[in-house]
Amino acid sequence: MAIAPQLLEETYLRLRSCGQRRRECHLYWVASWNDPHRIIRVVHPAHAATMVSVEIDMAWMNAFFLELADRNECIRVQVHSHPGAAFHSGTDDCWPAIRTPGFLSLVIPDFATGAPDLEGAYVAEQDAHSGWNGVSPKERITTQLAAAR
Amino acid sequence: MAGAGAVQPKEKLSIVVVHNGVAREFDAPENAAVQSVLSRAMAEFGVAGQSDYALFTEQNVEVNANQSFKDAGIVDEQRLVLRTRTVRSGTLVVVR
Repeated sequence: MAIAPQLLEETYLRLRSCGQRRRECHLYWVASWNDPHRIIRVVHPAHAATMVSVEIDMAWMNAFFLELADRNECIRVQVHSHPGAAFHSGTDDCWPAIRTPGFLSLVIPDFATGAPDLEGAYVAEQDAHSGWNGVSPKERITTQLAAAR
Repeated sequence: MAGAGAVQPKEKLSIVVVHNGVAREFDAPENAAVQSVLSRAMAEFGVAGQSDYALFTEQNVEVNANQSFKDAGIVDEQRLVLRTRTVRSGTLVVVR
């Protein structure tokens, strides 16, 4: 999966500005179906959030699924912040937007207050049995601009 | 008796199901249960075996899977969204 540095920076900025160091936040990395391994935009869903949870507005999600179909795009990665260490919680396991093999879930630690470099981040990949396997963020997500082209 | 030019209602519907940016057509009799297309769509989109999925209209109204398409008011070529009912994340543990 490739993402331009600007979009990775936007990811951290949005998580920070929404969460204000006191709430988690949730984003989607979107790709075109013509090139599903390259992230082309970051989408911030309507959601409710507390210090330890996020719940997506499903009316927003319904409209977003229709928008994706109209644009020939897909959600490739769900991204959310945690107040402390990054890991995949039971909630993260059970309630993702997409439940197909290969879908990635990226968790950013410390309300995304660190540098936008995936340091301390956690990535889980969904397997064929609806389970999740931890994978190396820097092996699965390439942030070099050349790779994102 | 209807005249030769009268439009006859279609007994077989073509339903467009949208999931994560992909739209696929599914044919079904109008008196078939919505569940029949829900199950086929879940299998084709690779989410079979999940319990939290349902079909929703473009206006975000869940379509009762136990009703027929006719009784649910679904018409030919209508677009429905296949998605989960809930999306959550976070460190808080929620019992499913």
